[in-house]
Amino acid sequence: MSRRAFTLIELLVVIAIIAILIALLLPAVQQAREAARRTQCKNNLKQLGLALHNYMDTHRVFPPGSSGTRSPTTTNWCSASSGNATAMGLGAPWTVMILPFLDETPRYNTFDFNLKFMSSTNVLCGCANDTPSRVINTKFQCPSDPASGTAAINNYFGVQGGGTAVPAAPGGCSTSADARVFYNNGGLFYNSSTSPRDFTDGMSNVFLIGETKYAQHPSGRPDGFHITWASSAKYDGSGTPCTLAAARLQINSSTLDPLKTNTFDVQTQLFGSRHTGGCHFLLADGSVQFVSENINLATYQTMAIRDDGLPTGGAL
Amino acid sequence: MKVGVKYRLGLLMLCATLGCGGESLVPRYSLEGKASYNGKPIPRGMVVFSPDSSKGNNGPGAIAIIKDGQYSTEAGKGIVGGFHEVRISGYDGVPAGDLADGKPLFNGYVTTIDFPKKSGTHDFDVPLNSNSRTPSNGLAPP
Repeated sequence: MSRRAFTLIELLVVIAIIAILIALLLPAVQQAREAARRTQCKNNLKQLGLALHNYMDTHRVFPPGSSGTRSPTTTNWCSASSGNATAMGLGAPWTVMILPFLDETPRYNTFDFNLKFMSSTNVLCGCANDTPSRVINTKFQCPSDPASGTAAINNYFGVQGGGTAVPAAPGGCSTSADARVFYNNGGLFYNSSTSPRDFTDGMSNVFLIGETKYAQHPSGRPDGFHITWASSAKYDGSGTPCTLAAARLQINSSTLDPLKTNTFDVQTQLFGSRHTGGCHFLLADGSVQFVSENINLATYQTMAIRDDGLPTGGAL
Repeated sequence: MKVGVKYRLGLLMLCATLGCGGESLVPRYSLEGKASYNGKPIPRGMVVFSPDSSKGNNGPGAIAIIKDGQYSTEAGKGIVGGFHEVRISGYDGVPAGDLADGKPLFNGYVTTIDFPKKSGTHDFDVPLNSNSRTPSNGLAPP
Protein backbone atom coordinates (compact mmCIF):
# COMPACT_ATOMS: atom_id res chain seq x y z
CA MET A 1 0.00 0.00 0.00
CA SER A 2 1.40 3.36 -0.93
CA ARG A 3 0.68 6.50 1.13
CA ARG A 4 0.97 9.95 -0.44
CA ALA A 5 3.56 11.79 1.64
CA PHE A 6 6.84 13.75 1.48
CA THR A 7 10.06 11.93 2.13
CA LEU A 8 12.63 13.61 4.36
CA ILE A 9 14.87 14.27 1.33
CA GLU A 10 12.09 16.02 -0.53
CA LEU A 11 11.39 18.23 2.50
CA LEU A 12 15.08 19.13 2.85
CA VAL A 13 15.33 20.00 -0.84
CA VAL A 14 12.33 22.32 -0.56
CA ILE A 15 13.81 23.99 2.53
CA ALA A 16 17.15 24.40 0.76
CA ILE A 17 15.50 26.02 -2.25
CA ILE A 18 13.60 28.45 -0.01
CA ALA A 19 16.85 29.28 1.82
CA ILE A 20 18.62 30.06 -1.45
CA LEU A 21 15.75 32.27 -2.58
CA ILE A 22 15.84 34.26 0.68
CA ALA A 23 19.61 34.64 0.39
CA LEU A 24 19.14 36.00 -3.13
CA LEU A 25 16.47 38.42 -2.04
CA LEU A 26 18.09 39.86 1.11
CA PRO A 27 20.61 42.16 -0.59
CA ALA A 28 17.78 43.50 -2.73
CA VAL A 29 15.82 44.64 0.32
CA GLN A 30 18.11 47.62 0.93
CA GLN A 31 17.74 48.63 -2.71
CA ALA A 32 13.98 48.33 -2.40
CA ARG A 33 14.05 50.71 0.56
CA GLU A 34 16.09 53.24 -1.40
CA ALA A 35 13.66 52.85 -4.30
CA ALA A 36 10.82 53.67 -1.91
CA ARG A 37 12.61 56.74 -0.54
CA ARG A 38 13.34 57.84 -4.08
CA THR A 39 9.68 57.53 -5.02
CA GLN A 40 8.69 59.58 -1.98
CA CYS A 41 11.26 62.21 -2.94
CA LYS A 42 9.89 62.33 -6.47
CA ASN A 43 6.38 62.74 -5.07
CA ASN A 44 7.52 65.67 -2.87
CA LEU A 45 8.78 67.38 -6.02
CA LYS A 46 5.52 66.66 -7.82
CA GLN A 47 3.53 68.22 -4.95
CA LEU A 48 5.72 71.34 -5.08
CA GLY A 49 5.01 71.52 -8.81
CA LEU A 50 1.25 71.30 -8.23
CA ALA A 51 1.51 73.99 -5.55
CA LEU A 52 3.43 76.28 -7.91
CA HIS A 53 0.83 75.78 -10.63
CA ASN A 54 -2.05 76.39 -8.21
CA TYR A 55 -0.28 79.57 -7.09
CA MET A 56 0.03 80.55 -10.74
CA ASP A 57 -3.69 79.88 -11.35
CA THR A 58 -4.55 82.20 -8.47
CA HIS A 59 -2.00 84.97 -8.97
CA ARG A 60 -1.48 84.63 -12.75
CA VAL A 61 2.31 84.38 -12.22
CA PHE A 62 4.74 81.98 -10.56
CA PRO A 63 5.94 83.21 -7.13
CA PRO A 64 9.18 85.21 -6.93
CA GLY A 65 12.23 82.96 -6.44
CA SER A 66 13.27 85.37 -3.70
CA SER A 67 12.04 88.84 -3.05
CA GLY A 68 13.35 92.06 -1.64
CA THR A 69 13.34 95.83 -1.83
CA ARG A 70 16.75 96.18 -3.47
CA SER A 71 16.79 97.08 -7.16
CA PRO A 72 18.92 94.64 -9.20
CA THR A 73 20.18 97.27 -11.64
CA THR A 74 23.67 98.24 -10.49
CA THR A 75 26.56 95.88 -11.23
CA ASN A 76 27.19 95.16 -7.55
CA TRP A 77 23.56 95.03 -6.40
CA CYS A 78 24.01 91.63 -4.72
CA SER A 79 27.27 92.52 -2.98
CA ALA A 80 26.69 96.10 -1.79
CA SER A 81 27.07 95.71 1.95
CA SER A 82 24.42 96.30 4.58
CA GLY A 83 23.75 94.89 8.05
CA ASN A 84 20.84 92.65 9.02
CA ALA A 85 17.87 91.28 7.13
CA THR A 86 15.81 94.43 7.74
CA ALA A 87 18.57 96.68 6.41
CA MET A 88 18.86 94.44 3.33
CA GLY A 89 15.09 94.49 2.85
CA LEU A 90 14.75 90.72 2.54
CA GLY A 91 11.31 89.42 1.50
CA ALA A 92 9.77 85.97 1.39
CA PRO A 93 11.22 83.22 -0.86
CA TRP A 94 9.08 81.01 -3.15
CA THR A 95 9.12 78.23 -0.56
CA VAL A 96 7.05 80.37 1.83
CA MET A 97 4.82 81.91 -0.84
CA ILE A 98 3.44 78.51 -1.93
CA LEU A 99 2.64 77.23 1.59
CA PRO A 100 -1.15 77.83 1.33
CA PHE A 101 -1.18 75.69 -1.82
CA LEU A 102 0.73 72.91 -0.03
CA ASP A 103 -2.03 72.52 2.57
CA GLU A 104 0.14 74.45 5.02
CA THR A 105 -1.98 77.54 5.68
CA PRO A 106 -1.42 77.46 9.48
CA ARG A 107 2.33 77.48 8.91
CA TYR A 108 1.94 80.30 6.38
CA ASN A 109 0.08 82.31 9.02
CA THR A 110 2.99 82.01 11.47
CA PHE A 111 4.95 84.34 9.18
CA ASP A 112 4.40 88.10 9.33
CA PHE A 113 4.71 89.52 5.82
CA ASN A 114 5.01 93.07 7.13
CA LEU A 115 8.36 92.06 8.61
CA LYS A 116 11.52 90.93 6.82
CA PHE A 117 12.81 87.37 6.38
CA MET A 118 16.07 85.86 7.59
CA SER A 119 18.57 84.47 5.10
CA SER A 120 21.45 82.35 6.42
CA THR A 121 21.46 82.13 10.22
CA ASN A 122 24.14 84.83 10.46
CA VAL A 123 21.80 87.33 8.77
CA LEU A 124 18.71 87.25 10.96
CA CYS A 125 15.72 89.52 10.89
CA GLY A 126 15.65 89.77 14.68
CA CYS A 127 11.89 89.56 14.41
CA ALA A 128 9.06 87.05 14.69
CA ASN A 129 9.90 85.44 11.32
CA ASP A 130 13.18 83.94 12.55
CA THR A 131 11.46 81.25 14.64
CA PRO A 132 9.12 79.55 12.09
CA SER A 133 11.92 79.69 9.50
CA ARG A 134 13.89 77.23 11.62
CA VAL A 135 11.11 74.67 12.08
CA ILE A 136 11.58 71.52 9.99
CA ASN A 137 9.24 71.26 7.00
CA THR A 138 9.34 67.69 5.69
CA LYS A 139 7.66 68.70 2.43
CA PHE A 140 10.98 70.23 1.42
CA GLN A 141 13.12 67.27 2.49
CA CYS A 142 14.18 64.21 0.50
CA PRO A 143 14.14 61.08 2.70
CA SER A 144 17.24 59.74 0.92
CA ASP A 145 19.30 62.60 2.32
CA PRO A 146 20.81 61.71 5.73
CA ALA A 147 20.45 65.41 6.65
CA SER A 148 16.66 65.25 6.36
CA GLY A 149 14.94 65.45 9.71
CA THR A 150 18.08 66.70 11.49
CA ALA A 151 17.64 70.40 10.66
CA ALA A 152 15.27 72.65 8.73
CA ILE A 153 17.22 72.11 5.51
CA ASN A 154 15.78 72.28 2.00
CA ASN A 155 16.39 69.62 -0.66
CA TYR A 156 14.50 71.41 -3.45
CA PHE A 157 15.96 74.58 -4.93
CA GLY A 158 14.30 76.76 -7.55
CA VAL A 159 16.14 76.91 -10.89
CA GLN A 160 17.17 80.55 -11.39
CA GLY A 161 18.83 79.91 -14.75
CA GLY A 162 21.73 78.19 -16.42
CA GLY A 163 24.99 78.63 -18.29
CA THR A 164 28.66 78.80 -17.39
CA ALA A 165 28.90 82.60 -17.40
CA VAL A 166 26.94 84.58 -14.83
CA PRO A 167 24.45 86.92 -16.55
CA ALA A 168 25.34 90.60 -16.31
CA ALA A 169 23.34 93.18 -14.36
CA PRO A 170 20.51 94.04 -14.33
CA GLY A 171 19.42 90.76 -12.77
CA GLY A 172 22.62 88.75 -12.80
CA CYS A 173 25.31 89.17 -10.17
CA SER A 174 27.88 87.17 -8.24
CA THR A 175 29.94 87.40 -5.07
CA SER A 176 32.89 85.56 -3.58
CA ALA A 177 34.80 85.42 -6.91
CA ASP A 178 31.90 84.01 -8.92
CA ALA A 179 31.22 81.22 -6.41
CA ARG A 180 27.83 82.52 -5.21
CA VAL A 181 25.69 83.39 -8.16
CA PHE A 182 22.46 85.19 -9.00
CA TYR A 183 21.04 84.23 -12.42
CA ASN A 184 17.88 85.61 -13.99
CA ASN A 185 17.35 83.50 -17.12
CA GLY A 186 15.36 80.69 -15.44
CA GLY A 187 11.85 80.46 -14.03
CA LEU A 188 12.42 81.45 -10.37
CA PHE A 189 14.91 84.20 -9.52
CA TYR A 190 15.24 87.44 -7.54
CA ASN A 191 11.93 89.35 -7.70
CA SER A 192 10.77 87.18 -10.61
CA SER A 193 7.16 87.10 -11.79
CA THR A 194 7.28 84.66 -14.69
CA SER A 195 4.15 83.31 -16.30
CA PRO A 196 3.77 80.55 -18.93
CA ARG A 197 4.15 83.01 -21.81
CA ASP A 198 7.68 83.80 -20.59
CA PHE A 199 8.75 80.18 -21.15
CA THR A 200 9.21 80.63 -24.87
CA ASP A 201 11.30 77.44 -25.08
CA GLY A 202 8.20 75.49 -24.04
CA MET A 203 7.08 74.61 -20.52
CA SER A 204 8.02 70.95 -21.04
CA ASN A 205 11.63 71.90 -21.93
CA VAL A 206 12.57 74.06 -18.97
CA PHE A 207 13.55 73.06 -15.41
CA LEU A 208 11.63 74.85 -12.65
CA ILE A 209 12.81 73.10 -9.46
CA GLY A 210 15.75 70.78 -8.95
CA GLU A 211 16.96 68.52 -6.18
CA THR A 212 19.96 69.54 -4.14
CA LYS A 213 22.12 67.81 -1.54
CA TYR A 214 24.39 70.82 -1.04
CA ALA A 215 22.24 73.11 1.16
CA GLN A 216 24.45 74.18 4.07
CA HIS A 217 23.72 72.15 7.22
CA PRO A 218 24.52 73.51 10.74
CA SER A 219 27.00 70.69 11.43
CA GLY A 220 29.10 71.50 8.36
CA ARG A 221 30.67 74.66 9.72
CA PRO A 222 32.37 75.33 13.08
CA ASP A 223 30.28 78.51 13.50
CA GLY A 224 27.05 76.63 12.69
CA PHE A 225 25.93 79.09 10.01
CA HIS A 226 23.37 77.43 7.77
CA ILE A 227 20.31 78.04 5.64
CA THR A 228 16.77 76.72 6.02
CA TRP A 229 13.86 75.99 3.69
CA ALA A 230 12.44 79.46 4.44
CA SER A 231 15.67 81.43 3.93
CA SER A 232 15.55 84.51 1.77
CA ALA A 233 18.53 85.55 -0.36
CA LYS A 234 21.08 87.89 1.19
CA TYR A 235 22.99 90.80 -0.31
CA ASP A 236 26.38 91.73 1.09
CA GLY A 237 30.05 91.02 0.37
CA SER A 238 29.26 87.29 0.51
CA GLY A 239 25.69 87.55 -0.79
CA THR A 240 23.94 84.41 -1.97
CA PRO A 241 20.50 83.05 -2.86
CA CYS A 242 19.39 80.51 -0.24
CA THR A 243 16.52 78.62 -1.92
CA LEU A 244 17.72 78.94 -5.53
CA ALA A 245 20.54 77.53 -7.62
CA ALA A 246 21.73 77.75 -11.21
CA ALA A 247 22.51 74.90 -13.63
CA ARG A 248 26.14 75.89 -13.99
CA LEU A 249 28.23 72.87 -12.93
CA GLN A 250 27.59 69.22 -13.76
CA ILE A 251 24.97 67.42 -11.63
CA ASN A 252 26.55 65.75 -8.55
CA SER A 253 30.03 66.91 -9.65
CA SER A 254 30.95 68.28 -6.21
CA THR A 255 31.74 65.73 -3.51
CA LEU A 256 31.45 68.32 -0.74
CA ASP A 257 29.10 67.16 2.02
CA PRO A 258 27.14 69.91 3.81
CA LEU A 259 27.07 67.72 6.94
CA LYS A 260 30.87 67.81 7.13
CA THR A 261 32.09 70.95 5.40
CA ASN A 262 31.27 74.39 4.06
CA THR A 263 29.06 74.26 0.95
CA PHE A 264 28.01 77.93 0.75
CA ASP A 265 30.38 78.40 -2.19
CA VAL A 266 28.92 75.58 -4.32
CA GLN A 267 25.25 75.33 -3.34
CA THR A 268 24.07 77.97 -5.82
CA GLN A 269 26.03 76.55 -8.74
CA LEU A 270 24.74 73.02 -9.14
CA PHE A 271 22.07 70.45 -8.33
CA GLY A 272 22.49 66.94 -7.02
CA SER A 273 20.97 64.17 -4.95
CA ARG A 274 21.81 61.13 -2.85
CA HIS A 275 20.11 58.88 -5.41
CA THR A 276 22.50 56.93 -7.58
CA GLY A 277 23.34 58.43 -10.95
CA GLY A 278 21.65 61.82 -11.07
CA CYS A 279 18.84 63.86 -9.57
CA HIS A 280 15.18 64.74 -10.12
CA PHE A 281 13.98 67.90 -11.80
CA LEU A 282 10.52 69.38 -11.96
CA LEU A 283 9.86 70.80 -15.40
CA ALA A 284 7.75 73.91 -15.81
CA ASP A 285 4.83 71.86 -17.17
CA GLY A 286 4.60 70.02 -13.83
CA SER A 287 6.26 66.74 -14.81
CA VAL A 288 9.13 65.26 -12.80
CA GLN A 289 12.08 63.66 -14.56
CA PHE A 290 15.25 61.98 -13.38
CA VAL A 291 18.26 63.56 -15.10
CA SER A 292 21.50 61.59 -15.42
CA GLU A 293 24.67 63.08 -13.94
CA ASN A 294 26.40 62.21 -17.24
CA ILE A 295 24.16 64.51 -19.30
CA ASN A 296 25.92 66.71 -21.83
CA LEU A 297 26.75 69.90 -19.89
CA ALA A 298 25.59 72.25 -22.66
CA THR A 299 22.24 70.41 -22.97
CA TYR A 300 21.75 70.56 -19.22
CA GLN A 301 22.53 74.27 -19.04
CA THR A 302 20.13 75.20 -21.86
CA MET A 303 17.35 73.15 -20.20
CA ALA A 304 17.54 75.61 -17.29
CA ILE A 305 17.11 78.71 -19.47
CA ARG A 306 13.50 79.63 -20.19
CA ASP A 307 14.00 81.72 -23.33
CA ASP A 308 17.30 80.92 -25.07
CA GLY A 309 15.41 80.17 -28.30
CA LEU A 310 17.50 77.04 -28.84
CA PRO A 311 16.23 73.48 -29.24
CA THR A 312 17.14 71.20 -26.34
CA GLY A 313 20.83 70.51 -26.65
CA GLY A 314 21.60 73.88 -28.18
CA ALA A 315 22.35 74.87 -31.74
CA LEU A 316 25.15 72.89 -33.35
CA MET B 1 5.47 26.89 -21.41
CA LYS B 2 4.00 27.99 -18.08
CA VAL B 3 7.40 27.67 -16.48
CA GLY B 4 8.96 29.86 -19.17
CA VAL B 5 6.50 32.67 -18.58
CA LYS B 6 7.02 32.50 -14.81
CA TYR B 7 10.78 32.49 -15.31
CA ARG B 8 10.64 35.55 -17.51
CA LEU B 9 8.34 37.32 -15.10
CA GLY B 10 10.70 36.50 -12.24
CA LEU B 11 13.69 37.82 -14.18
CA LEU B 12 11.78 41.01 -14.93
CA MET B 13 10.94 41.49 -11.27
CA LEU B 14 14.54 40.81 -10.26
CA CYS B 15 15.65 43.40 -12.82
CA ALA B 16 13.15 45.91 -11.47
CA THR B 17 14.39 45.37 -7.92
CA LEU B 18 18.10 45.32 -8.59
CA GLY B 19 18.06 47.70 -11.53
CA CYS B 20 19.58 46.99 -14.90
CA GLY B 21 21.01 50.49 -15.29
CA GLY B 22 24.15 50.91 -17.32
CA GLU B 23 27.26 52.86 -16.46
CA SER B 24 28.40 56.00 -18.22
CA LEU B 25 29.34 55.30 -21.82
CA VAL B 26 31.44 58.44 -22.16
CA PRO B 27 35.07 57.77 -21.23
CA ARG B 28 36.28 60.07 -18.44
CA TYR B 29 39.93 60.81 -17.87
CA SER B 30 41.40 61.88 -14.55
CA LEU B 31 43.46 65.04 -14.41
CA GLU B 32 45.65 66.39 -11.64
CA GLY B 33 48.39 68.92 -11.10
CA LYS B 34 49.45 72.15 -9.45
CA ALA B 35 47.47 75.37 -9.28
CA SER B 36 49.27 78.60 -8.48
CA TYR B 37 48.59 82.32 -8.52
CA ASN B 38 51.54 84.47 -9.56
CA GLY B 39 53.82 81.50 -8.87
CA LYS B 40 52.52 80.88 -5.34
CA PRO B 41 50.33 77.82 -4.56
CA ILE B 42 46.60 78.60 -4.24
CA PRO B 43 45.57 77.62 -0.66
CA ARG B 44 41.90 76.87 -1.41
CA GLY B 45 39.90 76.99 -4.60
CA MET B 46 38.20 75.18 -7.40
CA VAL B 47 38.85 74.36 -11.05
CA VAL B 48 35.79 73.97 -13.28
CA PHE B 49 36.07 72.15 -16.62
CA SER B 50 33.27 72.80 -19.13
CA PRO B 51 33.40 71.13 -22.57
CA ASP B 52 33.56 74.03 -25.07
CA SER B 53 30.56 73.54 -27.35
CA SER B 54 31.63 76.53 -29.48
CA LYS B 55 34.65 74.40 -30.51
CA GLY B 56 32.53 71.33 -31.13
CA ASN B 57 33.25 69.55 -27.87
CA ASN B 58 30.42 67.90 -25.93
CA GLY B 59 29.97 65.88 -22.78
CA PRO B 60 29.63 66.13 -19.03
CA GLY B 61 31.63 68.77 -17.18
CA ALA B 62 33.88 68.19 -14.19
CA ILE B 63 35.21 70.07 -11.20
CA ALA B 64 38.31 69.70 -9.03
CA ILE B 65 38.96 71.14 -5.58
CA ILE B 66 42.26 72.96 -5.05
CA LYS B 67 43.89 72.34 -1.69
CA ASP B 68 47.32 73.75 -0.87
CA GLY B 69 48.23 74.25 -4.51
CA GLN B 70 47.22 70.76 -5.68
CA TYR B 71 44.09 69.68 -7.50
CA SER B 72 42.76 66.43 -8.91
CA THR B 73 39.44 65.43 -10.45
CA GLU B 74 37.15 63.13 -8.46
CA ALA B 75 37.34 59.37 -9.04
CA GLY B 76 35.13 58.38 -11.98
CA LYS B 77 34.19 62.02 -12.61
CA GLY B 78 37.08 63.20 -14.74
CA ILE B 79 37.11 65.23 -17.93
CA VAL B 80 36.11 63.98 -21.39
CA GLY B 81 39.12 65.46 -23.19
CA GLY B 82 39.15 67.95 -26.06
CA PHE B 83 38.56 71.70 -25.84
CA HIS B 84 37.44 72.85 -22.40
CA GLU B 85 36.70 76.21 -20.90
CA VAL B 86 38.60 76.18 -17.60
CA ARG B 87 37.53 78.47 -14.75
CA ILE B 88 39.73 78.79 -11.70
CA SER B 89 38.79 80.42 -8.42
CA GLY B 90 41.23 80.86 -5.56
CA TYR B 91 40.89 81.87 -1.90
CA ASP B 92 43.47 82.78 0.72
CA GLY B 93 42.42 79.94 3.07
CA VAL B 94 41.85 82.18 6.11
CA PRO B 95 38.18 81.90 7.17
CA ALA B 96 36.47 85.30 7.23
CA GLY B 97 32.84 85.53 8.32
CA ASP B 98 30.80 83.02 6.34
CA LEU B 99 33.59 82.72 3.74
CA ALA B 100 35.06 79.48 5.13
CA ASP B 101 37.74 79.32 2.42
CA GLY B 102 38.78 82.92 2.99
CA LYS B 103 38.78 85.97 0.77
CA PRO B 104 39.03 85.61 -3.02
CA LEU B 105 42.58 86.07 -4.36
CA PHE B 106 41.37 87.01 -7.84
CA ASN B 107 38.07 87.36 -9.58
CA GLY B 108 37.53 84.16 -11.56
CA TYR B 109 40.22 83.29 -14.13
CA VAL B 110 39.03 81.80 -17.43
CA THR B 111 41.08 80.07 -20.11
CA THR B 112 40.52 77.55 -22.91
CA ILE B 113 42.69 74.43 -23.17
CA ASP B 114 42.68 71.43 -25.52
CA PHE B 115 43.16 68.40 -23.25
CA PRO B 116 44.37 65.05 -24.64
CA LYS B 117 41.93 62.14 -24.48
CA LYS B 118 43.89 60.34 -21.77
CA SER B 119 44.59 60.69 -18.06
CA GLY B 120 47.39 63.06 -17.24
CA THR B 121 48.63 66.13 -15.44
CA HIS B 122 48.32 69.83 -16.17
CA ASP B 123 49.67 72.73 -14.11
CA PHE B 124 47.83 76.05 -14.00
CA ASP B 125 49.42 79.37 -13.15
CA VAL B 126 47.00 82.25 -12.83
CA PRO B 127 48.75 85.48 -13.84
CA LEU B 128 48.81 88.39 -11.39
CA ASN B 129 45.91 90.88 -11.53
CA SER B 130 43.65 88.61 -13.54
CA ASN B 131 40.65 90.50 -12.32
CA SER B 132 39.05 90.96 -15.71
CA ARG B 133 36.15 88.59 -15.99
CA THR B 134 35.62 87.47 -19.56
CA PRO B 135 32.10 86.06 -19.82
CA SER B 136 31.92 83.39 -22.52
CA ASN B 137 28.72 84.95 -23.87
CA GLY B 138 30.83 87.66 -25.48
CA LEU B 139 29.51 90.47 -23.31
CA ALA B 140 31.93 93.04 -21.97
CA PRO B 141 32.93 92.48 -18.34
CA PRO B 142 30.56 94.40 -16.04
